[in-house]
Amino acid sequence: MADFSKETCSSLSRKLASGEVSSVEVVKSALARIDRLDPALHAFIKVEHEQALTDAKIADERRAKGANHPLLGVPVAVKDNILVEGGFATCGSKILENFKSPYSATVVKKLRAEGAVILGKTNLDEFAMGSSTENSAFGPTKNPWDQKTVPGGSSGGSAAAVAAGYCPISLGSDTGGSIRQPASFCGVAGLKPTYGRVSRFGLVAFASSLDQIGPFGKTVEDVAYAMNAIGGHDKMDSTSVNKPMPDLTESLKKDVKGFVVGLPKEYFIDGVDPEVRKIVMDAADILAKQGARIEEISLPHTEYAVSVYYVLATAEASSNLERYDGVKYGHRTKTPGGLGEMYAASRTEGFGAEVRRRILLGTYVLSSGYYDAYYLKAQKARTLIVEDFRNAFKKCRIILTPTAPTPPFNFGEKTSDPLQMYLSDIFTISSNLAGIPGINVPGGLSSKKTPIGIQMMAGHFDEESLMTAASAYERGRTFPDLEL
Amino acid sequence: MLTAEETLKVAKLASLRLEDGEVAVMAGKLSGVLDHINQLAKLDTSNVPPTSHILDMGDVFRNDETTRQFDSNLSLANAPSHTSGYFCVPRIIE
Repeated sequence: MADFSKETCSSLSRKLASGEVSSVEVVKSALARIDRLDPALHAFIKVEHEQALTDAKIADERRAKGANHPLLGVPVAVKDNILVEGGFATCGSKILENFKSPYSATVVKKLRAEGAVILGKTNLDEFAMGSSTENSAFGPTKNPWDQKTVPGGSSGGSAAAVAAGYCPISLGSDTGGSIRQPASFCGVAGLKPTYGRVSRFGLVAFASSLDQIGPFGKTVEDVAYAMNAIGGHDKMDSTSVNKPMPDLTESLKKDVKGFVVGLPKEYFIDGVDPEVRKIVMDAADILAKQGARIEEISLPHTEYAVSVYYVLATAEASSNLERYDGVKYGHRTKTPGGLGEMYAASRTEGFGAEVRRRILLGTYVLSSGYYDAYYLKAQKARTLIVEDFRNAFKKCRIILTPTAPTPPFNFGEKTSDPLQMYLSDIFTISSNLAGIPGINVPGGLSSKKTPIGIQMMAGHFDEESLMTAASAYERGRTFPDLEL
Repeated sequence: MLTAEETLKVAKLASLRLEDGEVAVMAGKLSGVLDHINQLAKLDTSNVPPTSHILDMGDVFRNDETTRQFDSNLSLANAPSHTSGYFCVPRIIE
């Protein structure tokens, strides 16, 4: 069977368009690769063999009739907190183990309209709460580069699926770094779009003012193709913004001459691994060689971002997760009791430890007597973080930072101390608080041969500059293929 | 440090059970995170407005028209217990 594991979306698309291969061949090969590798990696919670082959046949038929979208017949994977009609959507939780989606998320409808073939649903930290995919109720995902290390999280399955060569594109969601940090750990590109750029309709809510769906890709170009497909206004999501979605593949052709790239001094602190620091500084050199000007900038409230995030995200989560009460859907306890007892027992049995912990923290910061000191205080501090970025983007077009402070860490290394786990998102959280877009681009390998990524951020709705800079960097550096 | 009593009160508000053995552990883990979060107290926010939504957009209106997303059978399909088109819960009135 032919191997398509190294193909990008555009190379695959060309082969499909020329008739060199069919979508059925590509999807069969992807499913065979998943069957061979995924028992060990566990990127998928559920692989939809039959549906994928049916969709591949339909894609081939559409092409035979003259259709030619960049994603037509291309296999993709979708994080299991995004609804696909008729399929399971577990969110990595026992509480939704048997939940079947009654409708599809807008992003899924858009992918299917373009003819993308969904291979299955990928693993995640329960309800997207985590940074390692160790919190999944269905077992962790392994990092394809080194199975002793975590793939990052919460979209660890979607990142690993692209890294393992199952598909060139996948979808994740990013509330505090859940696309970019696993993209860094797995050596793939991953974009968190501007808040409001992509519809959240059909994304199971974690923290509604921070959540955003975004794509992973083998390359920056793959990310651009996927964003072109999923971006844009949706009347089903009142927080999605009615702005025209630009063709991001056009941005890849532009150069960074004259771009001012800011390096925030607060992101180069002690605790950043020296290998990570070197790759980011090399990235600055690569952009400078292509005509960008590098300047030191300051985001003075950076040190407060993790605290602000863990107040606001847990507060919103405690409210969003109230709906899991064992009545309309989800797990219901078998323990006899009254209504209140049924609620509490169902929730306690259904939620994992980290989710329970975050619900309790969120409930505490919203509770009478603590609201002003925690929740309101964090909302005010969020304003200061937003202003930091507003001021920074008066001076620069792009902000360049590490994506994560370290290369991928080992399983179990941070599970006993939640704060240590939370700090692995220290460089990605701020852009969710500010609502700005951020991308991870693979930068190089650590001495242990595990991936290290760099992060770039841009102003609201300036995905175009972000793609231009990300693509320029990608062209200027080398990153090895993973052989599996 | 959160006391056992405070921890149990929050659990009750959140409709979550904590077994006796779990209370101290949970109190310790929550306190560890709260200790970090308490750094916010040193930040002067006296003249800073709160941010609840990041984009400058107002309320979004639509016409008050009913549309049918899917029928009631589909709405009930995921319910742990239902009968005659209704969701069932344990008896609440004796």
